[in-house]
Amino acid sequence: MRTISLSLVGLSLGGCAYEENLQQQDLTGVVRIPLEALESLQLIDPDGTPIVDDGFTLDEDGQPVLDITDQMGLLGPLYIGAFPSVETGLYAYPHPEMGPILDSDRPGDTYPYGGTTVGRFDYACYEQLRCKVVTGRYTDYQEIIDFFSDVVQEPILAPDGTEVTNASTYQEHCFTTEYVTSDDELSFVDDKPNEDVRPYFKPYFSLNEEGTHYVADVTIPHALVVDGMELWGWVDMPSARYNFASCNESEGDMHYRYTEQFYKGSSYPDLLNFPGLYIDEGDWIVDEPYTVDSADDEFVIDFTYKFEG
Amino acid sequence: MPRLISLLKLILMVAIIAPTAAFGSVTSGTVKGVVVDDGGLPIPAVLITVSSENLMGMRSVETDVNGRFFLAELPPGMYELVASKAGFTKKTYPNLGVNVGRNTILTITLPLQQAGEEMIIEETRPTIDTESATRGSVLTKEFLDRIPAGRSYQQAVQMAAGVTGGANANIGGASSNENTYMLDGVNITDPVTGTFSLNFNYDAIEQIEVLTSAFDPEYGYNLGGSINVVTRGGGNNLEVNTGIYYTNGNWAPKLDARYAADGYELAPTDFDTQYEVIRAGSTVSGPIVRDKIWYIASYQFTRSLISNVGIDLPRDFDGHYVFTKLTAQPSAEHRFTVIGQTDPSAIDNLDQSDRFVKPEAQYRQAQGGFLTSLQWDWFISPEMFLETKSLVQKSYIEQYAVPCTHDSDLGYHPCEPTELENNIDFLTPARLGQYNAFDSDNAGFFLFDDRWRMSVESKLSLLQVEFAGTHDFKVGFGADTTAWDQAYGNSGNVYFYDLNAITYDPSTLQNYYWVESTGAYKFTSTADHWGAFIQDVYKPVDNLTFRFGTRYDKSVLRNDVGEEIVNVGLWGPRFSVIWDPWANGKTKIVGSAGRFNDSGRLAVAQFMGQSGNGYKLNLGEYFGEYESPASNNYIYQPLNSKRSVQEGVIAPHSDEFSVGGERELIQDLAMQLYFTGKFTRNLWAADDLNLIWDEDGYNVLGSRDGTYEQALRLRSPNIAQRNYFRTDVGLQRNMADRWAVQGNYSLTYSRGTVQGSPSSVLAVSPQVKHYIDGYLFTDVRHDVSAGFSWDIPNDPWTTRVGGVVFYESGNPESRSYAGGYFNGSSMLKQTAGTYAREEAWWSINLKVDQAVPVRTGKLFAVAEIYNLLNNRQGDSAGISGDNRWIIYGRQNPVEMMLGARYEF
Repeated sequence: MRTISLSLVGLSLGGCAYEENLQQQDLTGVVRIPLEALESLQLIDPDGTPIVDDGFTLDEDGQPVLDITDQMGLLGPLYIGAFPSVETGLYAYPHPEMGPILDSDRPGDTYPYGGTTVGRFDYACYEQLRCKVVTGRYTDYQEIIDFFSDVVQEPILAPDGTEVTNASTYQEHCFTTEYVTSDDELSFVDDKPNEDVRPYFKPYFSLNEEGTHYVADVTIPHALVVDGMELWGWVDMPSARYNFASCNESEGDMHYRYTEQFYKGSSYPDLLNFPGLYIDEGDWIVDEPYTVDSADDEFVIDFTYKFEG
Repeated sequence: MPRLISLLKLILMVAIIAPTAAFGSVTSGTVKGVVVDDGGLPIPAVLITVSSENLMGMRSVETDVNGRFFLAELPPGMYELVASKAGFTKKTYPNLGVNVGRNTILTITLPLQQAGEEMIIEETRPTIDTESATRGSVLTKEFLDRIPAGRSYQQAVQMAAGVTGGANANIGGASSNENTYMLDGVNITDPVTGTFSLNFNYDAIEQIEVLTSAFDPEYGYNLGGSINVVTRGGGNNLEVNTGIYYTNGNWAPKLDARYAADGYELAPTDFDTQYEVIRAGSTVSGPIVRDKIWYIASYQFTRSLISNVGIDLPRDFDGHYVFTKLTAQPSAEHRFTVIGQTDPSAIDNLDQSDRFVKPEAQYRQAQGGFLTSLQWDWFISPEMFLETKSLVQKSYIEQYAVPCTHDSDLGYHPCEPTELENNIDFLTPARLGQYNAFDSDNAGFFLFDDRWRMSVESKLSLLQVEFAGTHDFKVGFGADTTAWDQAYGNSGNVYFYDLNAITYDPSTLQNYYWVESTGAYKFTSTADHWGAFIQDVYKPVDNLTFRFGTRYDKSVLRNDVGEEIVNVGLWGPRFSVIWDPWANGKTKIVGSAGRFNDSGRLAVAQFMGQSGNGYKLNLGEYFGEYESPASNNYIYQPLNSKRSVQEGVIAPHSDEFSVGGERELIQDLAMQLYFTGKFTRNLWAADDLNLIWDEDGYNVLGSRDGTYEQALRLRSPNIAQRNYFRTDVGLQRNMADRWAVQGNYSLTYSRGTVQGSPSSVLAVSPQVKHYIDGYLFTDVRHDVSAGFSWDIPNDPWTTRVGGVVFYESGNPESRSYAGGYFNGSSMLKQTAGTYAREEAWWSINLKVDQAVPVRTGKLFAVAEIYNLLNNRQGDSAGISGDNRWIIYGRQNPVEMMLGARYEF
């Protein structure tokens, strides 16, 4: 009898996951960008001289120097949305279905069901870096310094005009101006995430085994799941002068330290509602959207269409 | 069987006359045991008599055929117990402790009588209650009088294992909002915040019961613990206790305080903080009619001047605590207790977070309230009791500008030349400083906040029922209703934001925007609870006890427009087994399991508030023609609160498992070892149905309906959870032979997706749950709390020495970030696992209480030293709007309290 009593108590206490009956669910899958996205990237210096072309940085004589196909910093944020449908004919590229055009200066709203990014703009302890550094692309401060020195070929300059060449200077500046004490706060890519202290594994890109695509794991959190909705998005690739059209330099956190005052930049808040306003030449777009039949399915989104303007 | 039928009738009767709930109401203790002869054979018909200063009259009972006796419903305190029977030696226990919610279990051996012989057992305080599984501590008056506890019941409860935090304790890994506070068995928990709601004179306390886990259904439900304060009841002798205590934390050398409250580094001369407290109080108690009507009246005045690091104007607290209690026992069967309490207080210069606040922009917080309760105890028989209580309580918080003064020396809000002294300015708009600009002109807002609680409850106890062993049945019902009225507005309905944007020069002010509101914002939220419990303590054999039962609670919360926000039913089954393997009262092995719930607070209901006032943002010169998408919302639009509740939302709950044991090492000194696991699920949270965020929850990418406004929905998701494991090792010795000790070491491991459930809900979105909810980092904590007392035997100049040691390994502190979309105003981000650990916090406090012989009464000189050894640990920290670490306050270097107390 006592055994039965104990069992009943145990059963009554046994935890069952509460069925929340939510329409919003997390969608998981992968995104893939072809290697060509970086192989075809072109950057120029202020004088208009090419500094990146054909997958390499170029020296003064136009000779290839550094292979850039492993420079993930050149991949801007990926914007992914869940939309009622995607149409062709609205723009020169597949574009989510739009609602009525109410304002002559703006296209119709796409009314997305959900979305997310792979990477966002951050790290702007220096004004020069606002809207230029994307999370999930670097492993440490030194990699950012080297990237801007060697690839973008615009070395990071401190407020006093001196060139920032080592990681400790960068780190110290972030600490003294923004009290950043942990590298985790800058969302550096962690190859060995410790589940105990960092349960959220940040997605980042790696080349697939075939060497044909950059691949990243993605979770689209809390999307309103509608049968047949389509996952679509684009990669905001850098312009020739290494700027990103989806970042607003007049928004975001304010960096404030005596005379150093600037907004650190943030993504525009209507990137998914009006994507056509922000897609520009060189961006890679989803040509064949993924149709969601079940929220439990793992999606694969391919960015296969390069917008040539 | 006839007794069971009678019981059922009584249960029905109680249900009819008092359709009420028991939310936790234990105010008495029990003495029980067995009387045996020299050969260990039970002696029937031994007269057991108990008497106490806290008990009206005497209570007596004869042992049964098995030599057992049982005396329940005894007010806690010190007792004299006498066991006598013709032909046997009379035995007296003159200093027997009875603790609230506990059994004092004795095995009394009566030898055959030699001529005129009487045995007096001067000191025996059984430590182990071999019938209780409840974890926690009982802090008795005699122990509280001897240890340095800051003359605060909130500080004293830190002595229990599993209790950390500050005045509002964290118990068992729960947040400080998830405890229940009880005064003489009635629930006085703040209905909005879930924290303590009143203050009273420390000298009025008889015992404090701290329940941390494995407590019976009759104690109610909560995810944390229960703090049950039982006050003194009066007595047959007139007693007066008057004392005055002065505390100073200024005289000791100051150590470092590198950062000011606003996060900026301080110059060395800025390091000093002010810390002075004076407390004066008096307690009078005695009989109106001996053994029939007793009273106690207590008053305490408290004034403190305390500043945070780098702040010039100290927080100025004035409090008046009044507590009265009248106990009447017109017959042996009936006792009535009436309690009245009020504690009006005011705090000037409330804002200690920023040194750029001018005196005229400082706030006063007036707070306090009143409580009245009536309790009727019906002693139907020695084994049957009916207890019925009612409560009306109001507490209030008001905030507005510090009343002006013409006393310029004070440095407080100066009056205009023509202004009347103590005028409160509700009309002048405030100028709020940003980036080192001063707050000036006036306080920015006013607040009037009233909280009501009315409750009735009833409990029937039917004890020592013989049925395949013995049973102690209890059944109870109860209900309460709570309400929260609030009015909030801005002084003059306008406030300006000033920006010191040019240089690091606070005098360089540039007004850059201002906000107009349409008037004060008002709301009322309400909640109704009712519940019932049934439980049994079953002893099939003498050394084995099963405690089991359940409670059911129904809770309905309504928001400001009367909408039903939460309507939940909560089952709380609990089961414990306690085994005394050698049947000698020296050892117990305990296992327990139970479910504990959280019905939510009024703040949860108000989170779903639907009404509000409009406001208009005026952008100043600083912005030029610029408008952000967010500022487009600021055009005189009523607060269009797009808030909803998930259908069928369930309440947070915690499943707790505990095993362990206690063993008496030497006479009355017991060692304890326990393991506790607690799994809390479905904590309150809110998600956003409209905004779409980037992967880090930092920037908004779009909105589902195109309005870019939040649409929050209250829910209690599976992901909002905490797991908590604790190992406790303790030593316990009740006061006997002039010394007592209570010490605990706890090793805690906790992990979860939220750090704690704040007073309301987590106003965040699971869309970005990894950041906003903030994963509760895996945390391993070490906590030590130990207290001791020793009365040096030099009567009548008795010197009593007490000490307390606290050690807590450092708190982890998550960094918070202002989210880009809301530009720092509304949304915070906490990056997973990115925390810094504070240094360990520890201190040693000592107390010396010196008796001075006087002609009449007793005079005591008291000295208490706090933080005698400490590490100047920051005891409150946070992040400023521009992402700076803020150390709001630190341990005082050394704090000395001197006082005198007179009693007769």
